[in-house]
Amino acid sequence: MLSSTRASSTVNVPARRLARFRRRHLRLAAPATVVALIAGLALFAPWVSPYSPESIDPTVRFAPPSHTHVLGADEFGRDILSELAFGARISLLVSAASASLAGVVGTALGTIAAFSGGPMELLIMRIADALLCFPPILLAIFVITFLGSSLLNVILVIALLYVPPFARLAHSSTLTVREAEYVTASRVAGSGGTRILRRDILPNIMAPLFVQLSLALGHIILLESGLSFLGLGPPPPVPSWGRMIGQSSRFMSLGVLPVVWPAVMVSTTILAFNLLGDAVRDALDPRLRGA
Amino acid sequence: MTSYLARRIGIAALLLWLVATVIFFSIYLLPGDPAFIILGGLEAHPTDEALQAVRSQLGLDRPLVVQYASWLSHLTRGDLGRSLITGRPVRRDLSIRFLRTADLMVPSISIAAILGVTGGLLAARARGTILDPLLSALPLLGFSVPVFVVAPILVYLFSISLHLLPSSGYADWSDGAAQFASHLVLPVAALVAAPTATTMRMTRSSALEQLSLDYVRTARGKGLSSARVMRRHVLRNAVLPVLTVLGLQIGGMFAGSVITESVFNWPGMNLFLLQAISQRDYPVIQSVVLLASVVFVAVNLLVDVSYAVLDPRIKYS
Repeated sequence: MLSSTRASSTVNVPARRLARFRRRHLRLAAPATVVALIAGLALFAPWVSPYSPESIDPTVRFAPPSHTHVLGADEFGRDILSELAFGARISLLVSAASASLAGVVGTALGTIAAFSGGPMELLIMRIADALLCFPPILLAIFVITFLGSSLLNVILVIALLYVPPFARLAHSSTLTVREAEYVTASRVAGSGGTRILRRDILPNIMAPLFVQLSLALGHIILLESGLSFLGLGPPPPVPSWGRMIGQSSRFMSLGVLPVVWPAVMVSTTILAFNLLGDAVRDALDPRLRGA
Repeated sequence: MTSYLARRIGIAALLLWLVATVIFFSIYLLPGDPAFIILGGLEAHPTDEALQAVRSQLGLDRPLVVQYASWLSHLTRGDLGRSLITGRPVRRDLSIRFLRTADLMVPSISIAAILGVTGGLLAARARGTILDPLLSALPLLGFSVPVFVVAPILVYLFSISLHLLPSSGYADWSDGAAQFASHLVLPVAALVAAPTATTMRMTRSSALEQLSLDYVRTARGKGLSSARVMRRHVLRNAVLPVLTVLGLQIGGMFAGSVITESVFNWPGMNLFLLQAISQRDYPVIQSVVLLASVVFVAVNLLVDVSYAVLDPRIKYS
């Protein structure tokens, strides 16, 4: 085995390099490809979808997959592929918007708390602790029912839920970095507070925050589709995966495909984001590898 | 230890007071007038006098601070108020509902702990074998497939197709143990997947960390079988971080049980909450969210304290 590899090594160098590259990057590339495909589906939804996701056709209720309805039709005769494509828009939009909003706000609050210390730190971190005392879904349900379930409200509520973890992480990372010698050096060199925060602290605490962000993307899709499932997500007529499962599961004795497709879609997406998050963590923070 | 315990309980109580305060004020800051709801909503066109009468009856015409103080003082005495819709004391209804949710949560978390720890240890032992990729991928799959996907699939398989188990509903103990259990199986099965996966993953990485330490080599060196090393040495050291994760799981389980109760029409506290929310029944909503937070905080306190009991190396002062 060994000798045969050696014998062929002169010929197969590019192939072996490719194999090594594949092995190393497959963990990142495979989920990234899936995410890219789903993002493509979302982005090109109007072109991918053969029908409007809202158009109802009673003659094709529970139609099996065919050349007219590739994935079949649901209990109202809506085209499932079209619903999935437009639903991808909602899931990805909510996930990206809430995660980045929570990331920015949480990081800002956490670094400011750690950097300023005193009553400011106490206030910010205790509020974060109190928010973490609520089981997240209850807080989301609680706020959304009172404010109404518009797309914007869903994004804001989910972002609110994810601010405390980001704030805590940014807070603890800043506390360790704050005492580093390069921060002292920068201060001696005459840098002001904002400059130190921006130039010295932020770049050095980004890696764990980025890992947190990539893991949050998957969690948020889970949360958003869970809320949609309960009827508390972005309101109709915009299709969403969670609501598709919630509504169609009432008609499972008539046809199970309208539940299966969105179920596969949402699970695949969350799995891809989780794998991507793990791969990003391993790439950015070798200390956490395998954890 | 006692002073540590006292401090931890003090912090927990303070957090819960903060939570209660947030709940109280958020409800009053949000739109919607309880008096309207009691009188049948906008469609019923209640008169101003009627609205005023209801408000003063409920004490809603008092200043907010007075209402807050009175609410808090009732709360400390365990009085959760009365439902705006049924007029019954919330406390009695909620305690029944809470026990039904516990019927779901307690078996689920126990099964998840047993399966997760066992699976995690097996996965740690299988590292480097053919089974390794499978056993480390399994948990990832477990928490990527949401409850609201697992639940309908279970219903489809076991009640719609095979007619083995009831698709929804709740049977009381008084209806017989078999009835009770048959209604319990599917919801628990749906609920168990995610915490099992998380526990398994945590146990695996925690056990792997321990396996690389010197004392494991010593234990092996003196001729212990690897099963015995796992059970007597690694498990005891690896279980602490797993315990933390299990505690945090309770929060995730609430999310799972909201959806599970809604899918299986299980009349627990989460279904109570969902109904109360659609009716804007404020006292019920406040009480359920508060109770859930109390459970969450209490469990995590318990986890922290059990650290000290389980690990003699940790000394709290």
